[in-house]
Amino acid sequence: MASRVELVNDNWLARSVTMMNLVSNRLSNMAFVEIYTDLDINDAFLTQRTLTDNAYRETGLEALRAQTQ
Amino acid sequence: MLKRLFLYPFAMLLLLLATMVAGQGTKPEDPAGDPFGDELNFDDDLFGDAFDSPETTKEPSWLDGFTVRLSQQLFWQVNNHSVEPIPGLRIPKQADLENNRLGLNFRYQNAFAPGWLLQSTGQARWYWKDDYEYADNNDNIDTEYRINELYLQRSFGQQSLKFGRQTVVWGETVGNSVLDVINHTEFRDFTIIDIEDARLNQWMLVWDVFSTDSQWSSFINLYPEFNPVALSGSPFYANTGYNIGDYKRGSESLFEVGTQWRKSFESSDISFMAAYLYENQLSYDYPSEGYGDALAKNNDFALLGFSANRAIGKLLLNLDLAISLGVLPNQSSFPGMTAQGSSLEIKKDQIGASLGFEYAISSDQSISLGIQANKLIDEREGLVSGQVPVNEGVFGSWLVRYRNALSNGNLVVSSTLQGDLEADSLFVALGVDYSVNDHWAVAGQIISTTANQQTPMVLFDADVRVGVTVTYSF
Repeated sequence: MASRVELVNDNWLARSVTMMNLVSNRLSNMAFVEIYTDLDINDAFLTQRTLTDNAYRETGLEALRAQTQ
Repeated sequence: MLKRLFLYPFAMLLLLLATMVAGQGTKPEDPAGDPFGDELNFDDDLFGDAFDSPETTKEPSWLDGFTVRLSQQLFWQVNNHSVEPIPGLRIPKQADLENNRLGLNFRYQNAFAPGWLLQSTGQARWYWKDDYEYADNNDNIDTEYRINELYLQRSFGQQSLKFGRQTVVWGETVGNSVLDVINHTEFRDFTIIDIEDARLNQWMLVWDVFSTDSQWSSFINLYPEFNPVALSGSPFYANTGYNIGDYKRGSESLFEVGTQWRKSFESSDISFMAAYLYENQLSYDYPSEGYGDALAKNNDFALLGFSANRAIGKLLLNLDLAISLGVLPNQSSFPGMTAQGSSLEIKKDQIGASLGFEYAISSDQSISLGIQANKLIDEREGLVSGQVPVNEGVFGSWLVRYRNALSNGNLVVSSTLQGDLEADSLFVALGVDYSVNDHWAVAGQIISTTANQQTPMVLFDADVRVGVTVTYSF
């Protein structure tokens, strides 16, 4: 169930998403407390190299973090 | 942020409403086909507290890269019995506390500049009363400190260089790949039973070159190391009457070098590799004078390999092939065990294969199987009449692992079964891990070993071990 639907940078976003597991009787909620949209992500970052090359991954992540400042 | 709540009265009410509209209650199904209809409604502010949390942004610090784990471990051999390694020789084994130790493990990772990364792991151990290392230290508390992993990495363009203590893992089969022979290992006692935990790091330079869907990875090791000798008093220590020490390096220069090419396809990878290596397990000659230090000898060999995997839905198939040129055929098929002897030190060529699969039964359950088989080429060549090779025909091992995460992952039940292809030994481990919270965890383990006189594992026949570990992480 989605709630707190808001317009963030021209993107409609449900900031609170609640799920109920009928088998385990568990109620879970995903709350988007902070979100950044329209980040510039290099296609090369979304490759297998990012999974194994730690220095490459951290460099890519740092570039993403810099865009959120 | 994912916030999980349960035992809410609201949840029970909603569950009741939901089961009713799903047809399990007394209310008929919604003819429109929506299983929830208009009944599953609750207040938007049920989880409103999540948005009231203060912002957690803080100034980054170099200390952020540290992860520390403290663990206290107790491990008993609980079965009073005796073993008969050779007919007529019975060795009594009393139930005893084997491990009573406090461990500190740390991991540190710091990407201190673009393209640069420093990573290290290390450990400290304190061996308390009744631990076998306490007894070996003349009944005094013993301590041990070790840096396991320590490397500096530089990534630039399509390349990466890593220098320092690290591991290189080849092969796809989990747990017993014929290609996983680059780093040496230490199976010090039964608290370390997985090769993933037993690998030791070595000083290497690793050079990776990345391109679209493929990768070259090469390494050079200018200081090859060998499996350490079992510590006196440990379960794997055997008193041979001779002093078996580490390898004594002379003036000769040792090095290992290897390269691997990996290509990825949709749902599949293949790799080819070649290497010049030293066998991780030393062989030993009896002292020339008949007493004193046994003579540790290394053996170099060449390795050619191929590996492949294939994902089919929730099933992952693995295959490893290895051709080893110039190995000494005195290895036991059981990890950590070595058949000693000086009579069969004739270099042989060996072919090996590992086949396995990993299957995700569900998001919580998984099972994996790996079978390793080896065969010496021309195994009788060079032997005189009456000499018997340690490993005849096809020899190897099999490994089955099962894992089930319960209670939303807080309770993990796992088991490991391992044996050799000749059915001479069977190793069964059952484990339960419970995470109390983000910092505290408790683990229990039961290990049973069965073996006959055809394998060195006979020294652990009918052993039953029970262990408990309490862990605090931060």
